[in-house]
Order: sequence, then C-alpha cells, then structure tokens
Amino acid sequence: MASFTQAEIDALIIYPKEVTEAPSRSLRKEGAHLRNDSKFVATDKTKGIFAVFIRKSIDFPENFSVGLVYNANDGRPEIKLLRCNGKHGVYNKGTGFDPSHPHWDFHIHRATEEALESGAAAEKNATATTEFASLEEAVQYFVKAVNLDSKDVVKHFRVNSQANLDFGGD
Amino acid sequence: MDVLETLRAEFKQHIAFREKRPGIVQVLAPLFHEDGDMVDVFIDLPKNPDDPVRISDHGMTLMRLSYSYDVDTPTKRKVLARILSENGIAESDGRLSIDVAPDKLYSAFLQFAQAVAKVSNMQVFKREVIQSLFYETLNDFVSSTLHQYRPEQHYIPIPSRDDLDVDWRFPAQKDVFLYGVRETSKARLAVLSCLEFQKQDIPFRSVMIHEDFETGLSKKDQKRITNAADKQFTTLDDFKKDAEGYFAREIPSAFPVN
Repeated sequence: MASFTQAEIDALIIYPKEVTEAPSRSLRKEGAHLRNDSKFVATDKTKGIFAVFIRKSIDFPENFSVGLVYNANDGRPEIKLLRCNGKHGVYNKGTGFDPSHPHWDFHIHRATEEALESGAAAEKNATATTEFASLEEAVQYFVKAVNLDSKDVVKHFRVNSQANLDFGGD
Repeated sequence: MDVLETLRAEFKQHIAFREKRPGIVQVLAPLFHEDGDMVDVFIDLPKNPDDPVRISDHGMTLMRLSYSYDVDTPTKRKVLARILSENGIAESDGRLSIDVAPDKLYSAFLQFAQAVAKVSNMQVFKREVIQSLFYETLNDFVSSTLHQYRPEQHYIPIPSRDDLDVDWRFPAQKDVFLYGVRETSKARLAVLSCLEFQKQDIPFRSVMIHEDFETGLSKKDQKRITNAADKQFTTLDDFKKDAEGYFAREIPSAFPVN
C-alpha cells in the first residue's frame, strides 16, 4: 500500500498554506547553482511541514526547478509533491525514449499514488506545460498551485521585473 | 536477429547529441533519474582534436540532489568524496567531471553516468549509510576531541540492569551521561534509562546528541526526550561545534590547573 493516497496527495498540494520560514531576499549561490529555500505549513489542522525549494543552474539558467516537499513527521518518508521544471532535457521515461524526438518542454512533475505504489519516485510522472516559460513565471505558477496565502505571495514571492527575481520581504 | 544482436543494435540506436552551448554537447541516452528526468551528461568539446575531452554534468547532479538533500555535514562530504574518488571523478565548485583521451570516451561516459547515479542516490541510501555513520562519527569525535574528559563507552550505572546502558559516561562529581539519538527507538530507550536512573537517585546529568531532532522524531517523542534530558544538541554538527565549550563548563576539573 502506498504511503500516501492520491486523494491525500491532491489535498496536500492545494491545502491553504502560509510561510513559516521565509525565503531569502535573493537566490544564494551554492556550487554551480543558485538556491532559495523556505517552509510552509497548512493553515488548517494538517500536520507536517512543506519545504519549498527553488534552484537555478548557473551554467544553464534555463535549467531550474521549483518544488514542494512534504514531511508528515509521522514516520512516513517525505514526498516530493510538485516540481515545476525548466527545459533541461528529456523527461518522463514512462513515455519511452526516442533520441530522435526528445522532449524539451517546460514541465511539471506531480506525485501520484500509482508511482508510489509501484516503488518509483512519487513524482516520476511529468507533463509538458505552457503555464510558465521562465523561473520567475514558474514561481508565480507554483505559489498559486500550492495555494499560498496571497499576503505571503506579495510579501515573499513578488517579482519586481522579468530580469530580477525578488523573494524579499520588506 | 538474436537477442545479443538486438542489444548491440539498441546500444547504437539509443544515443543522440544536442548542442547545448557552442562547444558543449548534451548526450541523450536512456539513462534516467528515478523521477523520470534524463541524467545530465555533457561533452565539452576540445579545441584540438587530440586534447582530452571533458565529460561534465555542469553542476546538475548536485543541484538535483539539493532539492531535498544537502551535503552539509563532514560525514556526507566524506561519503560524496569517496563516491567520486572511487569512480575517478573530479569535483570543482559543484561541477562533476572527468577528462579523458578521445579514444576512451565510451568507457569514461559509462563510468561518469554510474558516478552520477551513485551521487544522485545519496538521498536514497541516507538512512542506510549516512545515518549509520552518525554513531561512528559521534564515537570518533568523543574518543578523540573529548578524550581529556576520560569518556567511558557502554557504561552500566545499575549493575542489575544491563539493558539500560549509557553510550558514553564522562566521570565527574556528577557524571555526564551522553546518548547519541538518531531514531525513535533510541530516543525512547534514552528517556526510559534516564527516568530509571533518576528513580534510583543516581547523580548524573544527561546530554542527548540528535542526528536530526526536527525531522527524526515525532512531536510526542520530542516532548518526551526534552522533558527527560538535561541538555540536547539538535544535530551532530551543533554538538561538534559547541561540545568543547559545553564540557569545559560542565567538567572544569578536567582541565590541568596551572
């Protein structure tokens, strides 16, 4: 039996959330990538912590990922619920591999009970998206998809310009 | 066509290349991470045909790993360094690479992909390998950095209760009993032991060193151990940073008096 049902996964993604650990004002360099991390909790009685990560490759800025990881703190393993990715290369091996026709799309990984049940990574399945075409747009899509409180969106995840992503507060 | 010929043909057909940047080519091969994304392998083309070729991940492996796992402790760094050295891979500012002669490219590519897979799986085997090194690392630290406090391993304060032992005892007017805690069962044993020692009026102070207090224990277990322990360090790194100052305060007589 999978550690999370599809209903739980779907609910965990869309529960209303608020920021408990704010992201930094800007992306921080670590090795060959930039990163920013924060933590959310659900505003209802749902237990556990939602870790939010933002990563962007320095060598290839079109390679990025914005993700939501849930830790129930009840002995179940943590689960990556959602990841919004850049055009880093081929994804979704479940559709087969054809090097003549690789997929180079912006895409979204979403956890499924089916993947968990089969023993694969929860977020194994991915679908192409036109919801975003840059990291900045992906962050805005993400905070809506995970139902972050609108005040926290304005405070911590506002975008000042296309070129300058500002995760800052006051 | 027999199966071996099929395999040979498959190998030949399932590779392609895409220019990522001028002079940098991404290799498209059926090598996938567990989440279905393709393993990122790039060939940095040499300026001269006979120069070594660099196979690199351009930092993508450690970036992916950092989504939910940070190489942020000496133990984890040691494990990473071991994986890389065993596979002949270099690391520079987060980028993994290997330089090879052009005629060795195929085997080096496979070697590199294997190393990337191992590094990517650090998050999978963290419970089996990284955490098992928690006690090893703690014991190494206690027996080396804190040796002046005469630590005694596996001490049994109540002779008739050899099921209630102490990981490390530091003898003093009031002994310091130290426990390493990385999961629930150990946390509960430490709590049970401390409560029994208190019941038996054994003079001691307890200190708990957690592998990860925040995520390793449930809220109830966090409460239980917080109520039972005199002092806690929420991570091994925190303990290693502050241990000498802590013990100097707790057992000042261990320092030579001039």
